[in-house]
Amino acid sequence: MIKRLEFKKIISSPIILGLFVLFLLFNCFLIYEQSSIRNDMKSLQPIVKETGTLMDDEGSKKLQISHEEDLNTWNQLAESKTGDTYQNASDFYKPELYYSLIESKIYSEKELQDINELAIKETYLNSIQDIETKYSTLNVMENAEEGIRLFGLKGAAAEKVREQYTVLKPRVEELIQNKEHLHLFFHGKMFGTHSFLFKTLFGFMLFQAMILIVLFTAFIVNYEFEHRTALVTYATKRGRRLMWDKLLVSTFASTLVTVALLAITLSVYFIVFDYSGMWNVPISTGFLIELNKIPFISWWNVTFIQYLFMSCGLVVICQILFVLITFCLSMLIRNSYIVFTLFGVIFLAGLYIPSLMPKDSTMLLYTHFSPFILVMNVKKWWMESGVFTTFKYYEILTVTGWLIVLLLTAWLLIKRFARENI
Amino acid sequence: MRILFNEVRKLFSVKIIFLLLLVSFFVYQQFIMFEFKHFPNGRPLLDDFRATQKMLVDYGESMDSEEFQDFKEIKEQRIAEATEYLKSQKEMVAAGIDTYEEFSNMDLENVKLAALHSKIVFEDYVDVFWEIQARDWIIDRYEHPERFNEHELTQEQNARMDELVESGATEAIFTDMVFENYNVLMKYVAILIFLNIMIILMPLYIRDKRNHVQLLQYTSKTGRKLFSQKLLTGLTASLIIITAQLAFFFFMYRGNDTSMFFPLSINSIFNFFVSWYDLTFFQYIILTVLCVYLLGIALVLVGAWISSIAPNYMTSVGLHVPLAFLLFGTGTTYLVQNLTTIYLNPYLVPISFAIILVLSSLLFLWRYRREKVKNI
Amino acid sequence: MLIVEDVTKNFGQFHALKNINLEFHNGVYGLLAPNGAGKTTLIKMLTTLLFPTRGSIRYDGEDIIKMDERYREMIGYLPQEFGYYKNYSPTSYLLYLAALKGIHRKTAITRVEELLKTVALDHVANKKMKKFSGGMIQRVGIAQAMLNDPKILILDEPTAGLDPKERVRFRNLLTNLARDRIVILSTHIVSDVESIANEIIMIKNQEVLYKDTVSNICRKIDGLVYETEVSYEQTEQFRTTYLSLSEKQENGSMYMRFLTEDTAKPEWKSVHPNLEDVFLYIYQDGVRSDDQTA
Repeated sequence: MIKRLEFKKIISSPIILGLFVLFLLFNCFLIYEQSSIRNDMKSLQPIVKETGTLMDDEGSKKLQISHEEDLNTWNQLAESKTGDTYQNASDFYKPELYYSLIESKIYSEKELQDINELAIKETYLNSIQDIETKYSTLNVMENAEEGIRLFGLKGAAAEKVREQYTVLKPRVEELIQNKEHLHLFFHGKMFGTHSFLFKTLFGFMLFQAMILIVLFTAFIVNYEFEHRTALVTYATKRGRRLMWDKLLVSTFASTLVTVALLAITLSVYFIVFDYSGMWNVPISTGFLIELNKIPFISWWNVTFIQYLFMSCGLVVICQILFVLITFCLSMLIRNSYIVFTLFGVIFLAGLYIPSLMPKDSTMLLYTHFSPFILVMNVKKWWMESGVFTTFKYYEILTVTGWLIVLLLTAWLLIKRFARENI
Repeated sequence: MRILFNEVRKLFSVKIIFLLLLVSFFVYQQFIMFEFKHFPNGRPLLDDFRATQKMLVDYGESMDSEEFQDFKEIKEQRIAEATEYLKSQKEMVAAGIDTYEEFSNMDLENVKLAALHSKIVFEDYVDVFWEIQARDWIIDRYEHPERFNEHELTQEQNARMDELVESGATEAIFTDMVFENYNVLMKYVAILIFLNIMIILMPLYIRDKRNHVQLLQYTSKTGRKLFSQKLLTGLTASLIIITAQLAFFFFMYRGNDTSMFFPLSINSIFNFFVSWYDLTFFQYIILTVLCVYLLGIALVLVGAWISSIAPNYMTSVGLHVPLAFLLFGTGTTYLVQNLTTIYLNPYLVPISFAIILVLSSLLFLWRYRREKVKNI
Repeated sequence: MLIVEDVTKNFGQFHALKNINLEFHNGVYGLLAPNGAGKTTLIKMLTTLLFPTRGSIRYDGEDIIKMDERYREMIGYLPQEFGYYKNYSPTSYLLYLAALKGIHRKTAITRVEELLKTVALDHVANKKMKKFSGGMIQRVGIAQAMLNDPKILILDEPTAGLDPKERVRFRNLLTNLARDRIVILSTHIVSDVESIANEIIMIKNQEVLYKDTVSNICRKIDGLVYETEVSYEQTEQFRTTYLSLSEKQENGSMYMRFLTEDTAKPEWKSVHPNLEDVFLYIYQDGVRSDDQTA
């Protein structure tokens, strides 16, 4: 009952609702801005239907044959129209020919569409070789060394990093063995879907949810003090245990807000961008590699859909951490806007602290186990993620560690509050 | 005056000052210090900067064709030095690379040669090789000022470009490195300033309203005039903040050692920025400072309005969120950075400021008139 | 002289006050009504926090809203919920308000010192108010109302939180002040005003019911108030028949003070009515419904 009433305090505030809607609109706008690539992305599905996602020898052969057939068809058409034939589809786009072809309107819209799809197919086909070479020569230890040199790590810190990459090594072998890297997926260099989805969208959603959550948590914890009802409420039967209710309700509301934000935004995303047939592609596939050429090496063999849900789950848990941080702050400071500002300060401090650590101390690595650094890097969750955070259980350790510490702190603060003079 | 002083003092409580310092510290650490510590950021930018500084010393504010010859000669000298250096390296001689000419045409596909190349350039950091590269770039820019016209431009823009070449403004020895660095810094400083203003103005009206002090204030002689006095308070407080922050910033910025660029035209070909006006770097700096003040004032008007209508701090902070989003993103990009750029309509900035200031004033005025007859 | 003429105040559909006519001269006025009867509305109009829907309030013939700061310069006001800054000392708080009241700084400093002595807070003059008791805060409130030596002093529930000793001091202070100014005292504690108010104003059903001296008001129910002894068994019955004003247990039976228009019975002892009797008599039916509109 009391929980429901506390919950109502959050829901009935127009600003929370207003911001929530505003954030959703903004996310839709982001998706809309990106939506120009949706048609090109769509040309992957017919390919997958034809050949399956796995591009091992057999799969790539199929793709190659299919590509040759299509190219032949195209060349027949091209020959009849202009007398040209093409070695490969990308030749069609050579600037010296392309513009005159377009201007003379020799090809119909539909035909241009076909050659475009063919060119895309060709890109996928050509990538297979690159990916195979890349993974067969991939040496994560070298990556580790490069990172160590780049960030100037020394001594124990450098050793620890090497240790972690040694753990990663067999996983890379396993990945190659499983042929996880050879599954067709939206081409990272062309579309950058992973970055858009897991960096841009998830990044924004994390911050949006965080803003809402810090706002209402700070608000309801100190609601009684700001409304001068503290004396009445804390003298009732429920009394100061009301704080537990408030904590519980904030947690519940944060989960609700986060899930709603994720669900709605992602629904829009997947309606705009068709992922059918792609859900079960391993997230470590080489096709995802983007312009920076860094491969995605997940610690476990997970599919895209699994990865998506794992990440959503982690977002929800991160928000619970933020609830707890805000809750603890609010128990110490009774002014909600100062709590809000302090939260921001703590967030920045969390990002800053690692840079204070000596370059040869493992503390440098352990200070990266914070939710603030965690949420800055959604794109690389559950994966090899650079020298500082490549630990097999980095995400899990970070959130459980903080969860325990924060719960304890919250518990202590509630205890303290029980004896506090109001 | 005493009322104003009292109100300002109320805003700058010890707690808030401490909070502002904390915020400023972390924003500086996270976003700003980098641009100080790493200016110029790595090579070849460092070499570019050094070469440019030397140009300034040797040729004064701009480089005419005679001086340009001299500049090229220095490059030839450097090439000679480089060749000498190569000759002194046994492995290079062994590999048949004993002139700079050969060095610059090295086959980098060849693993062995590539290793030698990167040893000199990236491991030993032999300055002269970097300097030649930087000088090459400068010479290239100087010889091809027409690159300005790569973009598709309107007639006015083209005319402006031509005018700049004619007037010789493009020959100014001013580098984009300095300009970019300043622009990035100014954006963060502006954001920090706006953040500070938001924090300090948050309680402006809410506090006394929620506290019921308002009842006493509005029945005193000053009465509801206090509402406008508080706006004045907000303006004073933010002017203090803006000035203090800018003073600190420029104190820090001195460390970047760019003062010799102050009197130079920002329309130089060594800068990628083209302005509608003949501005020197110093004038441009003044312009950005002015814009920060103006945006700060607009922010005070909107922030004061929010503080006066929000029933509680949650609403107030909540309303600041979209405002911050607009201001920190679009606001700073168009109204602090890229001022007078040729790629935007010359009237965009003044008109935007006029609209922003008028609208925010109207917003506040409307609120003020309602406050005068409001039942408390 | 302060005149309230035909003042009506509506909040939307809700009528808070109807056709109020009042005249204030120097002296203490007790504004007596149960909570929610419109006391605070009237007071807020007298302090320009609310504006009358109809009618006007005039000081020496001039509309107080038009007088603006010339009017507010003359008033001292202690609201029911009066706000203060926890981190301020009484001195700095009073100096802050003195600035708002337009008092010259030098004058203000001596005045504040004086006033803090008057309200017996001089020993904590520079301590933060964070730790003050309710009574101490209330005394700060009283001090701030007197800062500008107001011609009109308006106090809303001023004695809340004061102990009996402080109350007496406060009453004496008011009597002194009222010699050359208007003091309007809103309260629902009858004893606060009974002894010091020159006139009592009673509001009922959004209108002024009485504005008269204490004795004149008491005279309205002269001869209707009695005291008698009733056995416990009969009390319930007695209460429903007559309006009970106060009850006291003594020696195994109940002493009742009550009001009736019936003819007196021999065991009843007729007594002089006091203000509280009138209060209870007038508001006997209205108390509950008034509360709901509050």
